[in-house]
Amino acid sequence: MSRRAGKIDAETLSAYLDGELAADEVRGVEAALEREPSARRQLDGLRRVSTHMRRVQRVAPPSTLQQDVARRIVLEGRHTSLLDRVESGLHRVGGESPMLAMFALVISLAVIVLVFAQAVDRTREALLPVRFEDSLADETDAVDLRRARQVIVAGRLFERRGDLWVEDGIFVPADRVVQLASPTGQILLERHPELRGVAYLERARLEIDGEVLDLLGTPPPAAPPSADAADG
Amino acid sequence: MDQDAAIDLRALSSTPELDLVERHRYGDPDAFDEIYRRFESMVYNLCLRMSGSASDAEDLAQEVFLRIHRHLGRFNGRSSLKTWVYRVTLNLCRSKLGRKRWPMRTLKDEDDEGGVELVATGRGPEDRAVDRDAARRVLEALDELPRKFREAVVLRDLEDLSYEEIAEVLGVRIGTVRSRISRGRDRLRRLLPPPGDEEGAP
Repeated sequence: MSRRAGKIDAETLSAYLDGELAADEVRGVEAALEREPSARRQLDGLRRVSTHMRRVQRVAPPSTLQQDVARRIVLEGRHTSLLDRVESGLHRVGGESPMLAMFALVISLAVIVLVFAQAVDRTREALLPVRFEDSLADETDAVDLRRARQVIVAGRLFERRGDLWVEDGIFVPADRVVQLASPTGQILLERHPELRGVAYLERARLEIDGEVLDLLGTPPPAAPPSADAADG
Repeated sequence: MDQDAAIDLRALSSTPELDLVERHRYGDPDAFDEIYRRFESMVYNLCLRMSGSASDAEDLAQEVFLRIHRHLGRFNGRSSLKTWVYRVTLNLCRSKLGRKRWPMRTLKDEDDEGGVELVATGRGPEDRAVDRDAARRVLEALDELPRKFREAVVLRDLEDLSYEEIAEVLGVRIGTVRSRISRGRDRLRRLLPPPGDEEGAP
């Protein structure tokens, strides 16, 4: 057992508290605690720290984390595949002419930037919500998507994979909860102003596993007057 | 394949961890899903403790799982999968956060807005408010520790790792782990309020 000036050192006491000492060391510490009040005070101080630490509880991760990870893995897979193809092409060309390889590299970089920009746009587009509020699914006339395997809305096909909806290999975050259809057949958008262009359709055709539902849309709310207009 | 890798694979051959890694290598998406479920809470909470911000923690946790997805095939079984994931997480936190200190004010603000719940649910509002204050004081005290001490104390007292596991994660000897935990706790003891003074502490 480590000792300093005939007393138990702090490291040993700390390891004792954690149950990280060998049996003979434990016996030594317990004997020392019997005879040394200062060691007992030191141990009490360490226990107090442990009590404080136990008050910090684990936090539940955000519900969106898994879908965000899944989406990024899909996107990364696409980019990796593209880069692999470019690298292999450059390798072939570079063997014949360095100048040609340089030119091919510039063109390839331009293509990558273009494809990346499109992928970003595509991801944004893919955030169309298709999950229904549970309360809505219980309404008599509401559309229940919980057992659906395939949904087409506004011409876009979504397929179920487990608890997630996927459009063209891109996972749709489940937190994007929006009521697509009310019991009266209207399309509502409650929390996603960025999706107004999709959700506020005058008429929408919702196709669930081959069954077609024609829905009447809800016009977008009138935009509030701008600050400039109010000032003027 | 080098000799070490061959030995490691043989040692792993009868473990569920090897099955998971092998299934992932062969492109089975369920293998990664299982790894995600197993380590989601652990990774997120460690990121939260190291960054002090819920939004940073979410970004970091995403990056961690991308790295795990990318590099799981290189996992060689010299450590457990758990300590490997902790090491990936801690290394990423170190590189992304650098010298940035914990923005505790951010954590406090997010908590006030309901973004992060620091304490167990299921208790009354008053008890939870007291617990929340106490938890916040602990996190603020941890913020005062040098990074090496903070990592060791967090892994031991919040993540409940053994000294041996912490040594694997940090890549140091057990004696060093023991010393860092002890010194970290000694500083915390001086930073945290004494008994009887906890409710009134700032």
